[in-house]
Amino acid sequence: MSSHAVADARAVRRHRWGNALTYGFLVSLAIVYIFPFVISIATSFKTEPDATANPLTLVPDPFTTAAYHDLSQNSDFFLWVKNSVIVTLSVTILRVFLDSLAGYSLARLRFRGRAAVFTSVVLVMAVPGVVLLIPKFLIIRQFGIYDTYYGMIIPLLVDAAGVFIMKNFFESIPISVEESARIDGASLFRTYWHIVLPMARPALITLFILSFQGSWNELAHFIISAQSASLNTLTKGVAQLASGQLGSGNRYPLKLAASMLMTIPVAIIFFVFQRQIMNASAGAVKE
Amino acid sequence: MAGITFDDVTKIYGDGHRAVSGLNLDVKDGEFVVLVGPSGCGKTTALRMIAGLEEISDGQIRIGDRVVNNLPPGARDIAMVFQNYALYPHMTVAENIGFALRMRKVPKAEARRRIEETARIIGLVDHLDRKPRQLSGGQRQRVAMGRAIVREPQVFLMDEPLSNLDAKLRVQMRGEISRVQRQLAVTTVYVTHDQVEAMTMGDRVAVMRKGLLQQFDVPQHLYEHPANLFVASFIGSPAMNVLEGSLEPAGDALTCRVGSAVLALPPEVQSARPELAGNAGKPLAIGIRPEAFDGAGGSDNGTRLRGRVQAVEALGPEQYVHVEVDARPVLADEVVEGLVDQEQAEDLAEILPDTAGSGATVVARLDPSVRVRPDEPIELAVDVRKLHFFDIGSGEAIDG
Repeated sequence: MSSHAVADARAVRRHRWGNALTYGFLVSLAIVYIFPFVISIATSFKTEPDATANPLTLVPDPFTTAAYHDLSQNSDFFLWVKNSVIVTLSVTILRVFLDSLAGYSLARLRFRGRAAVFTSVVLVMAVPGVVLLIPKFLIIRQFGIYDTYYGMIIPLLVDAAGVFIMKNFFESIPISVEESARIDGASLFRTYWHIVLPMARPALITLFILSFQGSWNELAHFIISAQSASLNTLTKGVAQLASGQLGSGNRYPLKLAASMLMTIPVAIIFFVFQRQIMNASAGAVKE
Repeated sequence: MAGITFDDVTKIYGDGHRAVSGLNLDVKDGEFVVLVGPSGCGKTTALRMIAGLEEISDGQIRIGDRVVNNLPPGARDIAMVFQNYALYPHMTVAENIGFALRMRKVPKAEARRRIEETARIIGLVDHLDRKPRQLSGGQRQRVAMGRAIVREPQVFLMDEPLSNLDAKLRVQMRGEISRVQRQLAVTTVYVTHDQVEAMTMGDRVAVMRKGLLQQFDVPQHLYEHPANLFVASFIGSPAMNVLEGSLEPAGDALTCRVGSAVLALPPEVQSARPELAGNAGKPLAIGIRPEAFDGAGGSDNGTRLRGRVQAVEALGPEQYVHVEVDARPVLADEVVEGLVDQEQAEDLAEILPDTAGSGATVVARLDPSVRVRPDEPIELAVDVRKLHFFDIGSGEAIDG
């Protein structure tokens, strides 16, 4: 074997070992990441004593759906689902619309104070949400919408990050496409509605997923905006499981069963829409 | 249909940049006018002011009898083709073409008829259901044209619509745009930086530089009678050779001195250009088109430039011969800008001092039968009837 061939064989072996190490590291990271989720699924099908005695086993022994049964029979689970759906859909649809309108205005319209408005939007992003909870509570009370759907929905309708994302995306759309629409006789709003929004589909879907996830998983805002049990959302309801009518014992299977059910809509939304994220402006202009 | 009138139109941007200064232009009904000039000359700004995409700082633009200064773009009854096509990517070809009709609430059946008729004109009948991303560059360009045609507007505005196409397709589309414009007889303003496009397409051509209109005339007149050094060097490919020289009286006659060469001007040239005699003795810029040279030796010694061949570009039916002659080139800004783009001009300015002092290089368009080789001496006969004379200070042509 020539010295070149030996060196080549050595290089190939080194390359294989390098690959194996890299993949080994990545797989272990993936396991660490996914393990809690698998434990949640497994535990939701365990009995109370099994979950307490063997919290980390992946196979329930015995296998039971008692937790799910208990949840549907002995809690207001379906009421929470209804409230979460109402609030999440209202917030998501209106937020996508309002964030995109605001983003478009900041990206394209020239008006006095535009820079100041945008700076304040960015500044709001820098303020931790917790800091705003008490002021929000005071304002909601002042407006007389405390303990109503309005109080739960309206303060979530616009978010600074969404405006920021949309503004940046709109700025990436070639202005000549909008000018063309204006020459074709479209008003400003129709240009936005018929031309710009369809071109902004990737950003809109991103915002839709973020908004859906954000409002579905929101807890702090619902705590300060409503107190009636009839307005409990899933997050609030599940959080109260520990102290409510089902609060005796650890109740791990019950709590994790509720968590699993809560996760399903977000997972579906994500899997459905991630395929839709694509470049919507292909072919518009010669690049 | 309608004409377009620029009445002392000025555009000053917010940062104080003066893009267009006191532009006066009268585009006749049905005419194809090309605005041409190097980048930054104000041609696109002028076009966008007609479209309503730029506000007018001063003056008036009329389309037909209507002053359009304050009309929004959609109310001006114009259609525009953009350099990058600006198609709506989420719509099919048919929807792209029909969008303006939809905005104007044209009944669906009527809109369908007009879209199909337009598709026939632009040759895209089989592509109506495709999206822009499924089309080639040339087809997208046609869709952009179709979008303008379907409107049946008073005015077509075109902003360098061919600059993104490859050279062969550009020549083909040049012909198609001219054909469609003639067929529809719609007043058209076309912007380009390519003087070949301007010369081949325009009924009249407006040459602009630094926001100022330099000359507005039919292509042949621009070529034969450039108003100044900028137009002279911008129009024509290869560009006009511009050398320092002077006119000197020789008895009753005049001679033209260029470097060490003395070219005799026959009496008929002097009688046809009486202004020349008044400029005798002054330093002038002498313009010689490449085709005003002849390599066959010429009629007599009095009409020859001598030099050395630097390079030969054989193109088949003709050849461009680069010859270094004993004369000084005119390197005024307007000549350099006319030859190249502004950015390139700045680069060139950095290089130019190195070349000062050596002779000037002229380009001669010669018959391929003339045998020339690099580094050999050559005698170029000059057709003195085709010489151009410019005031070297102002750059203005002195013989009209």
